[in-house]
Amino acid sequence: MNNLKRKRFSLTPALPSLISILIGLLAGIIVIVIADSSKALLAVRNLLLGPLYGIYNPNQSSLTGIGNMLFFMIPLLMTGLSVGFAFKTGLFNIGASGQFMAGSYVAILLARKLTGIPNSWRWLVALAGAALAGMLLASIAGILKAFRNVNEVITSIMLNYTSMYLVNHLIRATGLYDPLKNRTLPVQTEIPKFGLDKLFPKSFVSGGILIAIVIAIICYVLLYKTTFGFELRAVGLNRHASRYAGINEKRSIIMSMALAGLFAGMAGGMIHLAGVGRAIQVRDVLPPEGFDGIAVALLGLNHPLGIIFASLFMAYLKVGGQTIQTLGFAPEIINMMIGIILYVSAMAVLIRKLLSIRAKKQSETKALGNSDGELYAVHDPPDPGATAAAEKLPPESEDSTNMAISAVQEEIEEDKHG
Amino acid sequence: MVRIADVFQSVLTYAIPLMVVALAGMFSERSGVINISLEGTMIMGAFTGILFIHTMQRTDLMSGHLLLLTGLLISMVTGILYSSLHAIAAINMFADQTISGTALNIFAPAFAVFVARSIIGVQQIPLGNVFRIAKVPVLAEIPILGPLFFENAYLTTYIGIAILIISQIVLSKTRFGLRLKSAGEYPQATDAAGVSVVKMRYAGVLISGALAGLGGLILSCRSPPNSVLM
Repeated sequence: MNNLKRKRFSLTPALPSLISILIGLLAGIIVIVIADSSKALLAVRNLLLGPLYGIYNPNQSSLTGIGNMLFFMIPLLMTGLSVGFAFKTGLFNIGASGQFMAGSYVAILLARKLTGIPNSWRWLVALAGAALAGMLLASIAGILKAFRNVNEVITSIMLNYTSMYLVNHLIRATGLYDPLKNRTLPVQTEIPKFGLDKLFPKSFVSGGILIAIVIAIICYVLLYKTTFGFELRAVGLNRHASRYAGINEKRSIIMSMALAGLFAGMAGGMIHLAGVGRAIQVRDVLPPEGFDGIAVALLGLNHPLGIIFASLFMAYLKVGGQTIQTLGFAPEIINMMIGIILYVSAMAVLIRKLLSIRAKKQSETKALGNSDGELYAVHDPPDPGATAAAEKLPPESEDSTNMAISAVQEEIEEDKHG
Repeated sequence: MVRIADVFQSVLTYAIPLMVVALAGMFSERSGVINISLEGTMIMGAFTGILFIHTMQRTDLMSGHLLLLTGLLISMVTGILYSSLHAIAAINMFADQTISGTALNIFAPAFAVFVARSIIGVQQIPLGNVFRIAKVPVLAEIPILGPLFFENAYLTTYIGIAILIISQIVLSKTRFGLRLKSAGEYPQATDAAGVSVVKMRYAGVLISGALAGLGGLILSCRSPPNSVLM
């Protein structure tokens, strides 16, 4: 029991992500130096510290910068959750962009048309509508996967385009089109700020960020603390074994896809109800938020809590990228950095293996100095009798190495199956 | 008849790059590696190819179809180099193929736009539309087939069709093709037969990269606005 409890707080799973972030930042700095070495020092300083000191104007307080960062975090966190949740259940939701678009449209539609509902409550209806729209769109892919075994990557990519063209058409058909700016009409309804605007003055911050973080935590509880979540993850690991174990695997696939769509749809709703004047541009381009979500989910190791930190980090990079734009550096440097970070983090298994070899060597050298029974204890930590037999060993270090090994092995196993 | 021929000509324009890149995906997939980074590889191939053609057109060192062929070669080499990143990650480093592919997809457009801005100053590299062949001599006179295939054509159309035929032969008739497929279908058996699975997969991914780079340039150098990239 003790082992399990301590394992939960272990940093080992996050280590590869942290290493790859460092490498990515380093590569970004090198690119900046190559691009323009005369301004490099200032650019690096702005990139790293800009988000914390406020970007648009050096006179504003640091809290404004952080508030803006929290605003940019909203779509990253929600689409990241969408992709990560589907990943955890064995599905690749590449259609977050389309679901985002559908959610945005429904949110704007409801916010503008439901004039009968008082303004203070309208955002809730609009947000719920956005969530529902994303959910319906994604469940098409889920149903096809569950009943006809159609690859969800293909269906959700196709639904991206379906959704985009449909929304572009509906914007005109439902009278939301602003021909002068080629986008949707402005929305007055907004999600209440819950006092965040006082904490982060003059920033874009929206109450959506609190809702998003709460949803991420609910998502964590759902996945790891409930039977339903266990079933979802089991289906993700092995669909056929889960059916054999009596899990309704069709229902699980549909539910997980629908929930993934719900998160992406809400992302669209939250960003357009944030009260910062965002509108849907009517053009034939998929919104980039869905693809950002893939990067966030992968960097956050598909874990809801990891995704919170990953999205915060990505928002930090995005705001940092805007600050160096004013110095004449292309904002693409940020995307290059994100690419490098992801590429290195793809090799997480290799890094974990290296780490585990080190951990194993340490534990073996320790174990060799003791009797055979204790060696057995090293390799079978969950057995309470054996752990008791190992009492003579220095308990702290021994336990922690065991935990590291088992955690690493579990992760590797998980990677193999996932 | 003329109008149907026009439609068919533009269909070919869009079909050939899709086909070449689909073949690229197939080679990698058949060798057992999912190449999700095709999109990024296309961008990189198109980028270097166009950059080369643009520079040459400016300096008049080379022109006509020789220039196009050199450009295609350069984009293929770029594709091979870029996809070797994916190969190293997926085959040697036990990386998650989805993640490394997505990473390369995110990196490529950013890199291309960044370098284009640094070198040329704008995101778009202009490109004169000089590679269109109005009429292929003799062959265009064939009734029905002539207007369909040999008018307003591009050299790349024939290259694409040739690649299709060669791929089919390589994959189903040659020793190399069969080994490639076996590496994807049953790597243990391939290994037991004394064939290196790693080498086969490298071959698959690198061929895939070459074709994807080629497809990228084919798509770009005949898209209607004649100024390409992003």
